[in-house]
Amino acid sequence: MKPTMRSCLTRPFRLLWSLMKYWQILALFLLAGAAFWIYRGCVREDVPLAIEHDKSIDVSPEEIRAIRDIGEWEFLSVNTEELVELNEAGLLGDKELVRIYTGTLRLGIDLGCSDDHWFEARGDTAFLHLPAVGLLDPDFIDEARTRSFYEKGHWDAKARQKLYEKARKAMLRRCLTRQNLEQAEKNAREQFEKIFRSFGFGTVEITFEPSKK
Amino acid sequence: MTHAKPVRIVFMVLISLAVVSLCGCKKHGSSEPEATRPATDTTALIVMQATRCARLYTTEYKIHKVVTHEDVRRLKGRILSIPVDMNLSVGSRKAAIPIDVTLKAYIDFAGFDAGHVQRDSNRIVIILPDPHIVATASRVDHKATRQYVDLTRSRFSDRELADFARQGADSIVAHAYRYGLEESARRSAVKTLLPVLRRMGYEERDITVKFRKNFLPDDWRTMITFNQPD
Repeated sequence: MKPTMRSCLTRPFRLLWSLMKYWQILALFLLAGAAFWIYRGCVREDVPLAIEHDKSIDVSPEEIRAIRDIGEWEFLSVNTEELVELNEAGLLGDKELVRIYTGTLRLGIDLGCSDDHWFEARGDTAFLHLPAVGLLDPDFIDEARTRSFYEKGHWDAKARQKLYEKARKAMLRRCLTRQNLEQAEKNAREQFEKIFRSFGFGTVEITFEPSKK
Repeated sequence: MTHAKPVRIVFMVLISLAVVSLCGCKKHGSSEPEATRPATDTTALIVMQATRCARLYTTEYKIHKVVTHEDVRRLKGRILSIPVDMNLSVGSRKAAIPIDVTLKAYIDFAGFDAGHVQRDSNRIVIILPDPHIVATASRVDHKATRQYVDLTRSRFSDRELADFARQGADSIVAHAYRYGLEESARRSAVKTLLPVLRRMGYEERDITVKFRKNFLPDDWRTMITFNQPD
């Protein structure tokens, strides 16, 4: 009699063969083991598996829109930050936007506005007739440095423009004060005196044009 | 039939509540005149610092850049020591933000003294202090800012857009040394100082205005500053 396949198997193999009747349970154990193995493999890695999204900007060209020579003397710079908020009540709930703007108001004299006759030399004395001290550049907010503090609801470009204008007005009100203008003028006197003494003048006489209100 | 009456009552109560709440919303919301609504929009000063200085701003550059960003989600890391880096096709978001940055080159005269001036009977040499570049202002064109967002993704937040604009301005400032500001700064300083020196009695051919050295791109990297006080 030809031996069958089953009779050829030794006892442990026969036992295993009989267990194959429950292959579903075996498959379940194998799957669980594989899942545990993969999980441990992922957790132990130095670089764990995670969903990432790049927060950096793309490379894009820069274009020079304008170049101009200026002659602005800055004698006082006022660096300021302003927190501005906008609220709006609506049918679907209130909206709120809070941003922090940064700006530097530069106070000084713009020699670009005056003619070449602001300086005169008579012997050992330099006579300087300078324009009034004022704000050198009306664009002083560094909007790209604005920090968004709180945002609730969807806001459009008009709202952001409104916030910018509010921040600008508040900065002007707080920083373009008589006290700061006087401080800038005082510093201008000191600095011009120092520069013209370096040129070899013994006396420096400085007068300012009255400020236009 | 017996349950019909209570159900109808509950239904009526719900409708009444909805009507009352809608009326409340309307009263609280847009129908109220703008003037009578309490003004809650405020501004608050956070920082103010005044610094004395003596800077001659000589050249102004207006730089425009469209800052772009594409937000693609990626699955990154390692599975069983096998590096994984794959795009997740769950939708993408793109933003384009036009910005304008004003760069100014300046010469700091705070440390200017007689050591910077060499004179003899008919010649004068002025050695200018080192020039610097500063970003004095920037504007974001909110009206022209665009967002392209897939249905499965949320819109960019105000914080994200502000961060992209900041990165764009930083990138412009970092590349400022490419624009040849050294020569512009020197030429413009000469233009400001020349009338003064001529009135002092020097002929144009006897006047030399120069920097202490020719600056290399690496020097410029340390001479560029953001809109911050020293």
